[in-house]
Amino acid sequence: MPEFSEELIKDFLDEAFELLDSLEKNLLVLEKNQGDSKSINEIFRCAHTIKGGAGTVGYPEIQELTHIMEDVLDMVRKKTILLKFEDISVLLHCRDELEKMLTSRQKGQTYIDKSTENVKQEIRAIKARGPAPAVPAAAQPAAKNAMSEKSAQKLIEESGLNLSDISILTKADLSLLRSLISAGVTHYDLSLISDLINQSHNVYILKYNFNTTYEMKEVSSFQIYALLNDISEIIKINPALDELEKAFYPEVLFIVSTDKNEKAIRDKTNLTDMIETISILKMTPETVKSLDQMTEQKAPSKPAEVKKELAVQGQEGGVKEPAGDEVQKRNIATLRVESWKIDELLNLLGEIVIIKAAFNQLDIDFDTAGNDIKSILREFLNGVMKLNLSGEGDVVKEKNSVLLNSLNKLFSSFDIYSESLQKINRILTSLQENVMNMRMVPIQMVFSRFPRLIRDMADRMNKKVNLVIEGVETEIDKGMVDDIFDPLIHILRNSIDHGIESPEERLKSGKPEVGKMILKANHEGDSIAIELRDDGRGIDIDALKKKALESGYINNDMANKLSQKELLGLIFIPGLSTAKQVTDISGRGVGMDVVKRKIEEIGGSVGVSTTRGKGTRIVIRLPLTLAIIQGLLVLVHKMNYVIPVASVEETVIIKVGDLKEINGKLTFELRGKFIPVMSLEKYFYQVDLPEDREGKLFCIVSKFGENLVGILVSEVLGEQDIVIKSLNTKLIKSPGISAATIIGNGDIGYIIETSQIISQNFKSAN
Amino acid sequence: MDQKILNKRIEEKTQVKKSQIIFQAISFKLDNNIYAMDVMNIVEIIFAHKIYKVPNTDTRLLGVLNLRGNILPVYSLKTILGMEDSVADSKKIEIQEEDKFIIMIRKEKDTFGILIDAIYKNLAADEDNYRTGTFIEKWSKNSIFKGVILENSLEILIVNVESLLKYIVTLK
Repeated sequence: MPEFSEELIKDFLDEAFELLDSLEKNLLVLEKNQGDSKSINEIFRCAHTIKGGAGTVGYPEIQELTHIMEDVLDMVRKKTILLKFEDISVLLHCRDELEKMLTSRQKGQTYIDKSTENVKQEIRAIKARGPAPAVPAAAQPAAKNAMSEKSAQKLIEESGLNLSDISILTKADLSLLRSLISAGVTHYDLSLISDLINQSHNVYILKYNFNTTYEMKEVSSFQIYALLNDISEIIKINPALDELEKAFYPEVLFIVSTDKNEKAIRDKTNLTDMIETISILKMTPETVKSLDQMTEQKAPSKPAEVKKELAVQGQEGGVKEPAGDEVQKRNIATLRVESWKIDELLNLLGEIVIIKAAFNQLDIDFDTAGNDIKSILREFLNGVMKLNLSGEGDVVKEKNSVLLNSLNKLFSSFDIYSESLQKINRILTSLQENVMNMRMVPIQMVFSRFPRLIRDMADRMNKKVNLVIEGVETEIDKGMVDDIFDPLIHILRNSIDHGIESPEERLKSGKPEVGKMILKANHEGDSIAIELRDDGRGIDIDALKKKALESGYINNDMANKLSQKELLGLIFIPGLSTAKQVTDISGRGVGMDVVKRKIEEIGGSVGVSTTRGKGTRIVIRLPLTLAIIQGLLVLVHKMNYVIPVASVEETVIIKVGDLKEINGKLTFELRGKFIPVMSLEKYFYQVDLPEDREGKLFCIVSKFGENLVGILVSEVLGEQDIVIKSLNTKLIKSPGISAATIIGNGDIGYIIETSQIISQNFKSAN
Repeated sequence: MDQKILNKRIEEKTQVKKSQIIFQAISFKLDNNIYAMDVMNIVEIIFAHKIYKVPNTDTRLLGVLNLRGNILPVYSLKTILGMEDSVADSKKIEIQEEDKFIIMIRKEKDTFGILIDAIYKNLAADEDNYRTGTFIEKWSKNSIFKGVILENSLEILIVNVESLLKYIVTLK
């Protein structure tokens, strides 16, 4: 076997994985709508492309499995069989097997497992079940079938083949005839053929499938051409000779007229190392007639179009497919870039943003210094004038004007510098946006795996669920894709397991048998909201309360005080689960707390609301991006800190005397309402508030849940783009600090997670 | 110091020795004591500049430094070994140790630095001079050392990076 470059193999694997996703997606569509010909065509295309690619790079196990799949899919496509729920499962298993094979190949291993055999058995069983009686809708393909069956019969009679070969012949014939139509056979060709037949010549359609791994494969078609030319007259070749010269086609179709028989042709051209299969069909007046009808039906097809399709489909050779859409889609120029390259780019950009901040600071410094120099110089020059130095007045004047000139030049240079800096700022901002955008991927990347998982989960739980997914085009930061998958899966699981009732129960309570789950993503301001809604039984708040009381999280007094909403918040407490029994899917009481923690780790939040008996709604809010944020740069005890602008409601300047102590807690009156405040100097450095009651303090008002909290800092320096540099939180465990940044002068500033320090601060205060 | 040059020098120096080299090490000074560390875990050795204290953390964590855009933790090996009392000064925001060095260490995904007083020299641990022995093994289970190199009259303890990492992970 020839050695293929790693590049080629990588491309194949990349594409194959994508195709598998598409395969799965379309299988699930097909499950809902058997008649969806677009899906079945897509599935077929996926399997076929994988097969072709696997053949090219020499992965026989993949080729074999896809080949068997293709057989069944072909039957589905021709509507000779209908897929049942179980059949879809089998095909999905095939997909899984293929994924395992591909993954193994990726690691340089070959996947061998008996599960593959099982799946093959299952899929062969579907195939063996054979064609269902022709349904009216499938009248046309059925007609073709009947037609080819007829010609097959004739062939059998002529060649004396035994009956067990009928099915093969039928299939082969059909495919040959189809190839012939796709090859753009014209009425002229057909009339020529029938003339030749009438003159008692033998006319054959020959289809050669060439060995794609053969070293000299490019010349295969020419060899055959030469050989056939010896014994017959070639009426038509598809692809045309000049096409064959340009590229290798694995499948070539000939129409020949000869006085030799089939066996002679076969013997003459059977070059075993370059040819995989030869299909031969002898033309009869009947076949010509039906071909004539068939070509009429697809009359508007222009040869040029067919050629284009062939070129795109490559391996496909002749089999006709409504591939127009696909061709269009693929023409959108996309570039596959390894994600680390973009991350690297972003890192570099981050460095530039930091330097930019330094330049901006420099600009401000120049400006102040320049103004100072200007005003002092003016005074100085005036003073010199007044001195009226005797004798040297002219020299001084001259020197003064030189000084003035060069300073003016310097100042105008500063102005140009300032302007250029503004330009750079603008360009950098848009560059930043662009690179950030590159990191954005459609949330489909996360969502695409759910339909299958939900289907299997629901199946295992004996529940019926219809998952509706909306807003798949919503873009999220690539870095979040992995982080949100597990939490989402968990929520979905919960929903199926505890939310959606069994079909019987649903019917009893007057709901439709099939439960409905809606998974929706959309942008809300500068965050992304992912919402999961189900129409299940909702969360039993009383049970939750009882459980929380039992496990001692709350006491009776608290339980009575807590609002429904606050009680619902109990589901985020570790170890509380109201599930009556632990299933293998969920109910171990580890769950929502982990979901909340994971989402909060990436700067998001989780909200839940429920109506007993009607359903539950869970909303996850995520920041748009992870790499650069808008931050408020503040000083705390002379150290730089950053408070994300997203968590700042407003900033107020207050006096120490404005703070009041209520119940031992520091509060501050903000527009007639007392809000609790905490001092960061105290929190981070155990520094007490200044004694001076007139001392100025900056209070950053932040939202904590539904409440406002004031955070006191020593000074507010301003708003800035902050490049987040994550800290190794395994080693650095300072509550409230999980990332840092490098500010203009190279100093480090810590990025504060306000929710964490607020809860930490008030927890310790209690 | 450039890792390549360093390795080359060690190679040159140790070529004359016949016995099998187990690993190559860099020895360094903490006050007047000498310790060493396997070079395989050392990314680079840098001059100590500004180290920024991280509030509410263990005193053995000196703080973080900015190494070409990466913010990495630095530990005080002296405090870890109890050679220096850790002075809890929560009000301090940064440490300047101009004349000292920091050895940057990487173990799998974790990179961190340890502050040392000076580099002593390069060593090669071979079958002749390297000792582990049952006592050291037993003892080193609870310590951050894994063996000792006998160098002339000196006994140089070898820091086990794995144990060191395990130890610093437990710090607050």
